[in-house]
Amino acid sequence: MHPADARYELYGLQGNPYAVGPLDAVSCDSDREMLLELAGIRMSAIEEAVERAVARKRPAFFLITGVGKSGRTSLANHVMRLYRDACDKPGYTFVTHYAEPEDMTHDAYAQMCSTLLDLRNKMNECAIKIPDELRARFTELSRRSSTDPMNEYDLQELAGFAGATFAAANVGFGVRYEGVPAGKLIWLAMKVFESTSTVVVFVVDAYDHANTARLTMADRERFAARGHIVDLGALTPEQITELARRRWNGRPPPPFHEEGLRGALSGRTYTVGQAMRRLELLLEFRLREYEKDDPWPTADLHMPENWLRLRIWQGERWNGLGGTHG
Amino acid sequence: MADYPRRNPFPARGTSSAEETSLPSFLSDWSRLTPTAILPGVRGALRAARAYLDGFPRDGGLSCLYGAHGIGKTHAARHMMAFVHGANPEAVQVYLRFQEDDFVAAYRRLVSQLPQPLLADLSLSYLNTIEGDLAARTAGDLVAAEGEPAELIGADQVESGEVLEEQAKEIAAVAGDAPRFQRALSYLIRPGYSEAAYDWLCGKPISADAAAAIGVGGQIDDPLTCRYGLQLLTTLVTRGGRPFVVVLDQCEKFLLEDGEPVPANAGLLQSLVEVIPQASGMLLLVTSESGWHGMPQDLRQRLDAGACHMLPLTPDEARQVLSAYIGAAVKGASDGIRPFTEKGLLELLRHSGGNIRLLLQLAWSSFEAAAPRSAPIDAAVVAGASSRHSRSPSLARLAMLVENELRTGGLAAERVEENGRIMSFQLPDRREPRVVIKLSEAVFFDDEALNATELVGSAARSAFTALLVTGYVSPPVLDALRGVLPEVLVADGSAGFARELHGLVERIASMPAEAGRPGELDLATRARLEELYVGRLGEAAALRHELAKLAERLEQDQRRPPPGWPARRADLVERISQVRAERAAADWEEFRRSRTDVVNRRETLLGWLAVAIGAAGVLIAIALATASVSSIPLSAALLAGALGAAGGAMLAQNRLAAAGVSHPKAILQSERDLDRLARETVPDARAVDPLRRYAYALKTDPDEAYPELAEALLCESLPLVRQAMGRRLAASARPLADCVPEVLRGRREGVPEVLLLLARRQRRTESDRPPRVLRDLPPELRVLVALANPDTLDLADGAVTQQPADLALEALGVRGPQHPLARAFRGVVAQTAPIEIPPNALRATAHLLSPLERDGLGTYDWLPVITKVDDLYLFFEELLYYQEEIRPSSHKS
Repeated sequence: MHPADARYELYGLQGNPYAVGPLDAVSCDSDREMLLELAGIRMSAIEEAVERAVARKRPAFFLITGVGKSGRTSLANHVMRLYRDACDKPGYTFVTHYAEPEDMTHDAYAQMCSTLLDLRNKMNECAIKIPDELRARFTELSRRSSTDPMNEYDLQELAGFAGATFAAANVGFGVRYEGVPAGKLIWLAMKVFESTSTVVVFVVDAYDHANTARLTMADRERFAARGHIVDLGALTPEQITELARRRWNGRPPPPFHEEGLRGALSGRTYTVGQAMRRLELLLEFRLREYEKDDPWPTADLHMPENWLRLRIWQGERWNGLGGTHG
Repeated sequence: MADYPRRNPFPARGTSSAEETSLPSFLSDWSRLTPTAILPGVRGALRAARAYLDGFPRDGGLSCLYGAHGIGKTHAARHMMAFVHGANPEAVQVYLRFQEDDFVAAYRRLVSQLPQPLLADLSLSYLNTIEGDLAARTAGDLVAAEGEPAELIGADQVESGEVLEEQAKEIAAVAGDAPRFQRALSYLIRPGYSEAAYDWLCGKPISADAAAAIGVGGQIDDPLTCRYGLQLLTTLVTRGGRPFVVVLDQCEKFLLEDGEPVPANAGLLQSLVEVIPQASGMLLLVTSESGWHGMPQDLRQRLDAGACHMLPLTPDEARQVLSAYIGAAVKGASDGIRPFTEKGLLELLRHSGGNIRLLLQLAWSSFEAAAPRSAPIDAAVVAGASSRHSRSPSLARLAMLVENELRTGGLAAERVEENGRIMSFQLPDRREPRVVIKLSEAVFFDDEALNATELVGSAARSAFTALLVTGYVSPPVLDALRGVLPEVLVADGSAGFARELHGLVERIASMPAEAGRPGELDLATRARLEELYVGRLGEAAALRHELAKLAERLEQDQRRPPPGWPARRADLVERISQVRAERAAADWEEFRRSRTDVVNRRETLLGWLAVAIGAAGVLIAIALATASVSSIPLSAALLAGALGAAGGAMLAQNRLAAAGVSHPKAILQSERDLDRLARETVPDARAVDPLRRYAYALKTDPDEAYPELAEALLCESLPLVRQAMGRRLAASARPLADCVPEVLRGRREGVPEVLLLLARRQRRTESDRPPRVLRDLPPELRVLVALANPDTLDLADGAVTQQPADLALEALGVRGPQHPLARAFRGVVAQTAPIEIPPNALRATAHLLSPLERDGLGTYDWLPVITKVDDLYLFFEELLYYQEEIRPSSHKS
């Protein structure tokens, strides 16, 4: 049977509920509810940081570190959404500048120029009238090369001006840097946006190589003085079980034997992405093994402990599913 | 008979050059168009390349070709490159000719040879390789079973961050400044930055914007970074799955400046020599004689195993060269050298000094001279054609040179002429010559046996004889002559000869006047020479052999000629069993003495016990008897004395109990007695009685009480007991890897018996991968692992070090069954003539394995693999024997 033949409707599902990429809470309301307080996320602290920044009309800086598939992007988007919600007033709109890892270079100044110029474009998109003075500054910025850079305080003034223009039009903006290659960018951005009401999220790969910002303890302390740091880690079996339950959107109850899942996963560590991938496969297996037509709940669609253990073991032994620690 | 060649088969210039390019088509074209005689240098280079390709990607390669200018080094290197390309078209090869001692410039030329798309592809496949490795590491050993759902595979992709992290580690291992290099590699595969990253890697300047974006900073402009760059490049290519060959030509220009070594550059080269092979690349250094001698000692030693000294051509080789070229020009090629005659060939050698470039030039012009008439090319033609080219002086000219030099040095000499030709100079005159400088025409191999022996014969009459030969001496004869005569110079017209001649005259001038003692040559030697003379041993090998023997004889006085290897082997074996027996006897004696001591001490204590008890009894009796009559104090004193004696008895009793001697009366005559007794004895690891400790060694469970037994072994003072404990420990089911801490500790504390833990068969386990701790063991310990596990040699594999044990590992086949040493060890040594291992390395290895030297592995007689150690030891002795006794001259320079 081909995977396409997995009949999710038997569970009352539209598709596999565990097969999702990063959540985008900013553009999709339903995603907002899906982010769970797992793997080192303390939502209350994040919310508090956001609200404090909004209340003081200061920038909210966030630093999110973690390995691949640990939910960094989802969390970054969620933070933006929280910021947007905290600012919410009638007629308020929110624009974002996302710098993806493939756009990133080690040249922090060039990166910052791109960010500011993109904000200009966002103003145009939102049909915000750019004051002549600001337009002149933008023109100057784009004309000057890296060999003749603007001072960071000039950039700060420009960013503040842009922020004020946005605010006057009842528009907020947020910036997300994915895969920050060097610490320089963080310090420059913090300086530039120092007096702008915005949210800036830095996503840093928690690996040790030459194309990721390697933050020292001192760096982290320095950042923590003005922003909030979240280190995303691996999930415990309990958290994975909770994930399985909370993400279930088919006919209740969730088909996993919870104790069994917890037991089968004990002693293993997975990031949220890896855990989701496993849950996705387990659900798909169950459906593909099922040859009858009775819908869930039925004994054959249930995933008991032994079955879970066997499948997870099989996956690890035969298919390199052992994860990075297996 | 083959036709007369229609075109001149020889190159007019006789030089071989190589383009600095990695384009493979150049190599294949070149090898198609250029004939190559497989001379020893070429053979050496090919052998190295073949070994490298066979061992890739497990092992790297390292080789060095050195010899005089025009001896065919570049040609050999190029031929090797063409061979590598033919054998593996995927191989990436770069060729660089040093032009000065500027490594930065050299690096830039070298890296630029690799086009940008190639580097970008390599960078990508490097990442893929790492990803594959990481996936394999997590996947474990089982492969996906047939028919399993394929979509399961790759459920967990390896995160790109993880791959980069692994890459960072690997890069840091081969290059300093790793972050910059890693960024350059990363940006090589990013569309907008690939060119800039490539330019940066090539050491070219790039724009400030690009440099900032890539995060690499300034241009590469210091030798150290260049070295890192080259090392990185090696890793990049080899980890991308392709063999990598670097040929550095004319290293002398890099190593020497005005003839003086440049230490910084030597150090640089040394690092490359270390790191490129380590990163599974192959490095071939090509250098002149002066470059070779300008290398620091340790660098030369490092290169020695793979070095190939290219010597002037022998007549046979010259014939090969001519026929290779003629064969390429004539259809339906024959092996012959027609139109050259044999005499013509020798004349070519005479004028070229055996230098292949010169030989080809002379051959070219001889052919030009003879071709219009389609005439055979004989000595006269060659001589005529050579007048313009030949560098070597005629005999008369040589005499003039010497005379001038002597006169400049203020030395008086008498000319000795024969048939109107000056044959020698004798100082101060011919009646009582102190120094003889003999002049000679070129010396070939076969037809000049008479000449050579005559030279040797007359040489021995004088205390100091120098021989000056015009043009050419075939290398084996030169070696042999140098073994007999203090000075042999070949007048090849080079600046080197002028320097040597000058040096010779200076030495003669500074000699003490009373040196000469004529008539030193004994009768036997004379007879030998006569025999050579009369027999006219035309055969080359025989002549060389005789001369070599003669040289040894002159050198080493009355020493008998060496017996054959079997005799030497028998001798060694006898000595080994003798020292073994002595050691066993000593161990046994030590044990017995210790046991006797303990028994004696017990007797003494028993005596004291009896005395103390007797004394106490007597004192009490007296005290009781006198209690009624004498005063209280006296009785009290007596009683106190009695108590003291009783106390003494108690003490003696305690000591006895502590000593716990079992079977004190038993007689220990042999180890069999010991084993029997030990079985009836209560074991105790800490007993004073060695018998009880021995019993402990026999009876303890090696698995359950492993730590206790190991501890007891480390504390034990008697070798015999230690050996028993070690044997017991070795029966443990513990995997080898888990015993490593004890082994290392034991070695530290000088308890070799712990090696018993290592020299045993590793039981089959699930994991096929040899444990890391074993790989990290010192190589001499891995020799034991290899000996005990002949079927799973990879257990003993590990980093290649330059330690003597490495040769042993190679011989055991740890570095692959096709390693020449491994093949030789399996087969017979007679076939191993091509193995060129410096005698000192062989000696060091033999020493390591020796049962005769202190702390040799062979002295651990109680090892179960001891016979195998002996075999290995004898193998290296045999190699040494062949190098030292049979081929005495092959390593003299």
